[in-house]
Amino acid sequence: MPVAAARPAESFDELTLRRAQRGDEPAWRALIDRYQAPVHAVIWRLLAGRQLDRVEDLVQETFVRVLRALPAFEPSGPATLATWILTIATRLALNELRRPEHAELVDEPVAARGDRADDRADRRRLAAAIQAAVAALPEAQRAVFVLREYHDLDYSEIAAALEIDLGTVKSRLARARGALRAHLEAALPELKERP
Amino acid sequence: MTDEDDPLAGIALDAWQPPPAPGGTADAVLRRMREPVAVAAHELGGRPRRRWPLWASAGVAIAAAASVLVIGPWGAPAPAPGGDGRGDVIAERASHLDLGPTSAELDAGTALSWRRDHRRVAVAQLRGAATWRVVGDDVLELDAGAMGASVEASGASLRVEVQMQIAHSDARVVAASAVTAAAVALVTIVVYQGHVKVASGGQTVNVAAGGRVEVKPGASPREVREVATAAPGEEGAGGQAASASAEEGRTIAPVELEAHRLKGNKQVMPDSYEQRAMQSAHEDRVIAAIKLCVDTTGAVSQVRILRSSGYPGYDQKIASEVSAWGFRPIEIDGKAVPVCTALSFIYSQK
Repeated sequence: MPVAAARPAESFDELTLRRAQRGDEPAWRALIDRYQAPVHAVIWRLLAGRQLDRVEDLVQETFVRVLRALPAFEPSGPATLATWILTIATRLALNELRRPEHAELVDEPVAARGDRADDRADRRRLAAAIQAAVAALPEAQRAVFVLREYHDLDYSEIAAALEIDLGTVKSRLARARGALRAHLEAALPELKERP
Repeated sequence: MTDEDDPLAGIALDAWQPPPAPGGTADAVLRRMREPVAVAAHELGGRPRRRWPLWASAGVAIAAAASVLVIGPWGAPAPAPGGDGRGDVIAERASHLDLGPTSAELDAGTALSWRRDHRRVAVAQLRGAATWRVVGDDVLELDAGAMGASVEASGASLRVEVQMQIAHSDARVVAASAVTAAAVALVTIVVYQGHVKVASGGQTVNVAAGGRVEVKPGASPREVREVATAAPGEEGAGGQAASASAEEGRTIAPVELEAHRLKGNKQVMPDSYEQRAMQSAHEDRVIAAIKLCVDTTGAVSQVRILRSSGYPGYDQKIASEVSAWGFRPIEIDGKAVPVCTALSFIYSQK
């Protein structure tokens, strides 16, 4: 079960979308404001907290491409606006991952807030372990995993976004989850006690 | 496996959250969107990059005169947002012109005006020769020679040559002249890839890859002969048959010339910067075509880009590498002769 519905609800109103497609700047700004958080999140997660200095560049590049291609976007087509935008962001992030690595900045993961100090410390450990485990995944598995677990794309949407078939989506997701489990158990031995 | 039998069930994956997105993204994106489409040009043949002479800013009087003929019909001059824009250029040397996804290799002396309106790229090619590469969703609508010959292309590679009655005249004078249309002698369109519509004299013809059409002022398009075209199908960089003219020597097949090759690198790869640019553009395969001529000593006497890869640095690298090739003299009836051929370089990356 995906852990968070990071994909925004499809309620970007049709009128604003049409205005954005005609090049209306206030509508462009509304679109960016609406989708900035998930675009930032998907790029940050795909980079697995690394190359921090590139995240914002890639977010901006995503929106430049989105706005330039927006007149051709067909709202009644197979992809929703959110999925279409996440697809562009995902591909840019994957391209970035394929670049030869240079000196990189590594982000400290931010754990979601818990109720107590102990909880927060546990969740920070868990967040750090997840980040390391995701970073260790091959990029092809990482993309499927992040889009499914954190951005709530269904299998067919992931297949379309990554231009792979459904079977490949399922197999990569299974391998990614298995690898994650193994990595997390190695990092956090207490997880072995859980089913 | 389904989400229900997930080995990660019970693990709080939501503990891993990104930091808040920084502010200012919208402002930065909108600033970029207000910038006009980059019009960058650089010369082939190893010379340093230089900017285009942009007549809109550099030659007010000439631009104004040309606008009567060319820019006027397009309406309001203010560029629209969304990467749209317009400009007038004259290539003082062989140069590369980027108009968003669509690009052109301009021969020296080529004069044209362009306007981008979202996916539509309207071009008035007043004179000279240009090899156009129309990619993505772009649609090129080209008015050749301002004499009523129009070309429409999408997903195509083609060469448009506008020959003038006035030989060796100054491009700037012709571009600004009211007699521009009358000075056009012939427009030639060669299609390397895709399909292109050519209209003139009330008739429209569809030209497929390999087709060559000539248009005289006021006359219908006339298909003159077929040319060989690059035949994609071979992975990696390597040579394939394309087309060639025999101006500088007898035209021979690439394989025939290859049999005489003594030295030189055939596996010409784009540098890492260009490779990354290809990845960013989601292009896993690019094709460049060159014309190659060899003199009677077996030395390369001419290398000319017939079809740009879309990546000027890669074009230049190909031209540079091919210039260093060497051949045994090609003999016909016991006598060394100059020859020409055409090669395509196909670069694929996964």
